Amino acid sequence: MLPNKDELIIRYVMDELDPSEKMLVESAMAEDENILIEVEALRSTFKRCVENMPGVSAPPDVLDTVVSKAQEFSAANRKQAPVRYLVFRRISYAAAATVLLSAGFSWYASTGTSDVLNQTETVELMASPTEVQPAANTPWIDHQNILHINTAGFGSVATTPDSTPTRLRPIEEVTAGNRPARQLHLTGTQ
Amino acid sequence: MIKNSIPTTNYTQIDDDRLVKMFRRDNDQVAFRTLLERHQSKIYSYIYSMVGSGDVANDIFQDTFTKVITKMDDTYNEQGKWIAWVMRIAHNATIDYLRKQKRFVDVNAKDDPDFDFYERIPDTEISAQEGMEQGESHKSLMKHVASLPPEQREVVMLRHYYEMSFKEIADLTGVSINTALGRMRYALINLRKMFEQENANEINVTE
Repeated sequence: MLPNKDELIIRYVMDELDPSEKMLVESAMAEDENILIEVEALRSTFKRCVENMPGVSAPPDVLDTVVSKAQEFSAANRKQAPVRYLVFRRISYAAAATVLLSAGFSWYASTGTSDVLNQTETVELMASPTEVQPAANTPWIDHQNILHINTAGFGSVATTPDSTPTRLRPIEEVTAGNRPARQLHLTGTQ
Repeated sequence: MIKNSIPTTNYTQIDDDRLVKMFRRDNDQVAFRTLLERHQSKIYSYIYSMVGSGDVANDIFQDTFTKVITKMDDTYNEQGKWIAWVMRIAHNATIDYLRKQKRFVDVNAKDDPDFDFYERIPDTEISAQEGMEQGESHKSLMKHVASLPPEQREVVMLRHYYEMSFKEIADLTGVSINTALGRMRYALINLRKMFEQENANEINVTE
């Protein structure tokens, strides 16, 4: 007995069965003459349909109309393309400028200077900057972009900011005002 | 830029996917024309066989390709077959028309004087005796196909003209695979009965 007989038979005729299902139908056809007759009847009818089903072409004027529409659409697209390109280009420039400005601002904010640092120079100790000094222990930057770190009553240490430890140098001339125990001396480049 | 530089003869050897890309990206009109010429007969035959009127088939065919041209950038994703996508548009347009006309359920080609599909079979096929016989077979078959209930005719046409699997037919027509298979089975059973009746009539006339 063939399970789902109708479904399997039509799928067999349409050649949509996997090999195991195909074997199932073929063994059922071998055992049951009625199944064989049904399969052959459906198959011959389908074959007759496939062989005789005609194709009707669309009228030439209809095809011409379709081709014309495609050309019109392409022409319209072509006109719009430069506008789209310009808009896209402007947006690209604006985005690039925004990114650059943001990056520059972030860098400036993190370093406190926009000058290019020269790694070969060391920063001279500043004796007394002309700017008004803020409160003690508050770092500040003078007009030459020099970072000052004050300690209460003991002057200041000035340097350009540089986090590289290798650029730190020991104090060579120890005076009363810049004893290492009381002040931090940083060296760097400007 | 509209390109027409490649000789048309070469386009016939290019597959659908590449032709579609050439039309979409380069506005290549020859590529589009090649696609149209390659598939128009199947699409038109399907529409015509479903609506049964040349004028209506012309309108639906044009509407279908207008959508194809204007919607290709928005709705065709190049993952599936282009012709299956076009066929879906043609099928939906056809069904919309039939629903609007309330003919999808009621249509019966035998009673419809406008149904002249089998009269539109090209005369070029009837140039010799063999051709005449073939032409008669075509007309006979199409008369019978036109007599099928629309849902059965639809499955036969989709299977034949578009070589769709039953899963694709089921998806397109919104039914289960078993229902689509059942419709095909009943269509073949009905067609067989019609052929047998036709043969019996011919024998009676001969006698």
